[in-house]
Amino acid sequence: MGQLTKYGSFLGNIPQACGRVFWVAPALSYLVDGKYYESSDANDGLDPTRALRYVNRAWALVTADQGDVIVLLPGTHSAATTAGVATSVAANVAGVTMIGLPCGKGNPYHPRTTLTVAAADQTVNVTAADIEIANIRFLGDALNTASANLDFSAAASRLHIHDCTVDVTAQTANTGILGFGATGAAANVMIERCVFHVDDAFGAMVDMSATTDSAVQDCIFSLQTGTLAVALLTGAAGRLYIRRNQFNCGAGTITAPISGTGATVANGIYISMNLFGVNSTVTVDNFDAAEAVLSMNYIFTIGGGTGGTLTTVIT
Amino acid sequence: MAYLTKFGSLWGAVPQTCGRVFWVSPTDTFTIEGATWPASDENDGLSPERPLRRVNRAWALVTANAGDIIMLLPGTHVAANISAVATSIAANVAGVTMMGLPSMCGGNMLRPRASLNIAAADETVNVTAADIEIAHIGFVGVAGQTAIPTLNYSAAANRLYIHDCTVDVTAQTIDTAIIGFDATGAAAFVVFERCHFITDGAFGAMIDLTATTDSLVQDCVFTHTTGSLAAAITCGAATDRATIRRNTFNDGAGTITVAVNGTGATIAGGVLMSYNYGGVTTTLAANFTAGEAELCNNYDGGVGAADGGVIYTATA
Repeated sequence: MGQLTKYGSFLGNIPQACGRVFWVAPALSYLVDGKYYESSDANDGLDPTRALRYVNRAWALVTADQGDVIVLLPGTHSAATTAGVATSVAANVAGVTMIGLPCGKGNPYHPRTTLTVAAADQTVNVTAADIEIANIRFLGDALNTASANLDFSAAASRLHIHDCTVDVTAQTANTGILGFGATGAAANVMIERCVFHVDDAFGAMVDMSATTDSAVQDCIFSLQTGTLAVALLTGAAGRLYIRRNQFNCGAGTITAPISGTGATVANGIYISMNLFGVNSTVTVDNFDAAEAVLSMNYIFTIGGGTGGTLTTVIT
Repeated sequence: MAYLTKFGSLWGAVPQTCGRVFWVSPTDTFTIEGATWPASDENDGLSPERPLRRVNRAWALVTANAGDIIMLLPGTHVAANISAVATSIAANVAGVTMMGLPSMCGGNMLRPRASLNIAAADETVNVTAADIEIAHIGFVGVAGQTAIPTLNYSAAANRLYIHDCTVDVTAQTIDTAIIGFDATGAAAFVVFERCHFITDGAFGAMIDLTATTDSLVQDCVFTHTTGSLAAAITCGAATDRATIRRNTFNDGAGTITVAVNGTGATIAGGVLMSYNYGGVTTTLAANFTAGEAELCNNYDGGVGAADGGVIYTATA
């Protein structure tokens, strides 16, 4: 359970849960309440003063569907085994919440907790249901040359990722590098209030292929330069809601901010209240007729323009 | 003392953190739950029963990137050193959160209960470190604070996050050098959210984003009561990937000449503005050359039986 502080609040941004809370430190030596402690994967992790060393170890300790929470203390966490070997985080225990500690409300553009993997591999593989991930900055490592930052399988139904960022700008551009990528037909996946920082020809920052009854909302896709082919790929998703997102092109071009390549479901994608930068080539592209439903999506304009142009065409 | 109240609710609204909380009193004594406690910069500040006297002292005690929080108890805090000499607050320790104590429901963003000023011609706060969060504070300028920004932030202030604060310059002598939050360097990922700015004459901009990158201004209210305000927000050279959205620019009985001024802007597509609402007399975006600012669904105010709001189309 969370630690009740002398101020009456709970130590850590701990959701109300009936499970255990596992604390993870970003370094061997870390500070809590002004005192230094040593983290170790030999600790039980159940108190911030006995934090685990690696996120991976916490996932080995949690129990499925018991309300367990993994709290990542502020700093940069490198996914690794207990021996320190870079390895993806296997988010394979259902019903677990993994969150960063914002120590305040938290800057929505840049959480204080960072998670990365120094290997050519995904930072996180989600392969279980009912997992929640929040307040974490996924920072792509240069060694990650062609993998998604996080992927989620068909088993990852009800995955909820919110208030996170993905930053691939330190990586070598490769279309195999995705932000959050679906590898199977998960249902009820929710991605909201996330920010994606991109600077060249990477893969889609959100790939919802084959998902059903899912939503991507209130996110910002921020391209700095270069050409990004696709920001959000729907694929053959069914009943996918894409709403209130903003696609910024910066000094680059987003060829298809929302791409339906592979879409197969009639009326499968509902797209509403999204905003697209001027350098969006075709805002909603690669859908056949009637696969996408549009309402109130606008393209920015520059001086002398209309002040915002309604998107009406699906190609 | 017990920090849970006898009603079972929580005392204060301290953010969840792994760090220490340093309490600061606005006066020499402070009353908590009916008992009066002395404030002193000799205290450790780690309990509201033994608060520090000055905000400046708290900044000298915090540790970088350890989740430490500086909590300003309700009232008017005056920036000063231990000897009570007016001195700007040096927000120079990375990863610190400084906030006023809001009500349990999060506080009134239009007027926080904790205010902060400086009785000198100097900035109230200088932010010169990364990952600093500032919230629930009313920056209420006083007459002695002439020709100087209320808060400035340097190139080192990456990821500065200011939210639920107000800036009120109406007690100050009108001067265009009086700015609300002023960029002095190329900070990145700066966010201003749910802030309220109150002006009543020809002051400087209330937010300056010059040279910042990947920054965000959203859900703010700019209240201008009278006179002419040249610009509410300025975007200068090298401002890039700034998003300005869902703000309201209220020109009251005066005029906000330009809500977002691009004088000196240099980056094509560097500023994106959406769903902002201007006053009757306000031009949303000016002094951008073609292509530097992108607009989408921004509207001015319509009066009485007029149009009910007209979309802004021009950026220059």
